[in-house]
Amino acid sequence: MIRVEGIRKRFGSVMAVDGLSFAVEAGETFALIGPNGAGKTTTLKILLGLTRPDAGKVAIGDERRPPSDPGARRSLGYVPQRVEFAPARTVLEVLTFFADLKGLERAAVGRALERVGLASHAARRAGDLSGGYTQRLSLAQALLGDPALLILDEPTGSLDPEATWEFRTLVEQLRREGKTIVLSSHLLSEVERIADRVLILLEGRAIAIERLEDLRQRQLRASRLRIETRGAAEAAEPVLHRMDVPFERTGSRELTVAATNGRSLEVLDALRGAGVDLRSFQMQGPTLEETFLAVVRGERGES
Amino acid sequence: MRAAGRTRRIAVIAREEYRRTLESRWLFLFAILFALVVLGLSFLGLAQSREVGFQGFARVTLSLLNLSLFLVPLAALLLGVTSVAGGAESLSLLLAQPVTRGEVLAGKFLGLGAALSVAQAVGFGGGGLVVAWNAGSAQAPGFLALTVLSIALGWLSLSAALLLSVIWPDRLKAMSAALSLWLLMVVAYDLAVLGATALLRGVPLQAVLLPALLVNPVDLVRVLTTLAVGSGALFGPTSAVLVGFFGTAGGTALCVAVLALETAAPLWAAARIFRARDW
Repeated sequence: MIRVEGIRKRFGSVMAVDGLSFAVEAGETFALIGPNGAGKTTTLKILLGLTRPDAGKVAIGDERRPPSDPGARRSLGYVPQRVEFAPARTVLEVLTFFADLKGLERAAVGRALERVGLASHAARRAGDLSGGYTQRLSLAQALLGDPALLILDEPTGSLDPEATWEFRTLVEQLRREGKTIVLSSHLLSEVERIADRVLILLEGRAIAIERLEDLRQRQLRASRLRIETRGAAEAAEPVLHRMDVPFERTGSRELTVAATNGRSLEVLDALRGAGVDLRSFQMQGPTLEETFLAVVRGERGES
Repeated sequence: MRAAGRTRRIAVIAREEYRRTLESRWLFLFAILFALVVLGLSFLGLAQSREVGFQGFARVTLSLLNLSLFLVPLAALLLGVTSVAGGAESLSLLLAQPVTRGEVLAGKFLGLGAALSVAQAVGFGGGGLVVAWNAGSAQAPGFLALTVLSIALGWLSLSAALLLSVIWPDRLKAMSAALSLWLLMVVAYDLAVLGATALLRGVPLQAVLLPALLVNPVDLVRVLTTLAVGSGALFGPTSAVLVGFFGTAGGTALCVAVLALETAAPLWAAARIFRARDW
């Protein structure tokens, strides 16, 4: 659906995007994540033809059109982070404008309103809508003409938690319908419910393109088992040495064992089998967010 | 994209821009202001000679001219600048639609120009009708010339405003540039020409004045309107030169061509920059 090959974009002394390549397959939900200034918005703007890359190629859709070709934008819908529609215009009028621009019949407006749950708000003025409803309106204009590809730029960045949850639910529904979705966020937690793959960007470069499932495995591999014993913790050490499991003494009666989820039970069984009297145990794993940050910090060389 | 589709998209954007502009109250106030000024100038114009009542178009036209030359370019420049500069999110959303940038700019230009023209036509025309009803239509062609030339000046200023706003998409910078251009057109330019005339003593007047008038559309409109009213004598000894040049069919054609060029050239430059710029 999207092919990006070696795109670069410089703004003055800042290299916003530096040799970025990736592909997004049809029906996939692909998330660009990274800290602020990582190049996410610039990348999306290049996909939309709003910004021209200094180098590299982008092809959109089956016909592999460049984003500067308005025909390429016929098959995509765009939801910006924040947009102000003409405040005096009704929801219906706003959508009618975009439908007319795309050359769609009026029935398309009704369908888009239904899909985002705004049908009963068609007569409301855009200026009277809450942030969440404004973003729904933005999604409705993106869905006009039922495009196969949706590009969402930090779509919940300015919403409150309830509106964020509602918007994500809408996006999940579109994902289930088979839309190809490309979205950006600076928070992994924002995309982890809906993304199939994530592209982690840092200072304009791709530092990882991973399936979310792989990122979760990485998270599990980084899990730790914290064990508290009733007696001295030394009793557990020979068992752990025999199992070749890395561990660390964190107190006279406390150990932290590097064990993946699967080995944790094995370790606990072995310790109990060897007569080590366990007082308590606890799995300590990084959140997906912390795993993502570890990748970013690893790339930056930070501890 | 076929021509019919292109025309439709330009018309859709123009209609939206037109509605949005007319919805803003200040353009409405602008029209009311002009109507009131036309009526006020006509009704109170003879107050100094202790007479009050509607008078004809000649004095109204000349009195209205300076106000029009001040306000029309200012309104058009501000309208044009605020339509593009500073609205990055809305503009990005529009440009992300299946439209070309040329279509977006053309639509904005046509919509804004139509809204400004309607406001002027309502303001001048509404007041003008009342004057014609009460004082007759003698010298109405001069008033009509002012109306038409003011509308032309509005389109020309809009074109310049769009150029400024694509060069400086930041609203503050674009507004500053627009106000600087306005000051140059309505105040500074005349002072500069006066200074140049004083410095170039011995050079034939028409060699300085005529090119200078052609370069600044505000001055060109002033001269054309004054001549249309038949008050060329107001220019003093210069009037012979002005009437001799602008009063002919060739001179008029040249003026129209220059005004058209001064509208088209900034719009063409704006379109080129708009297409190449990152948004």
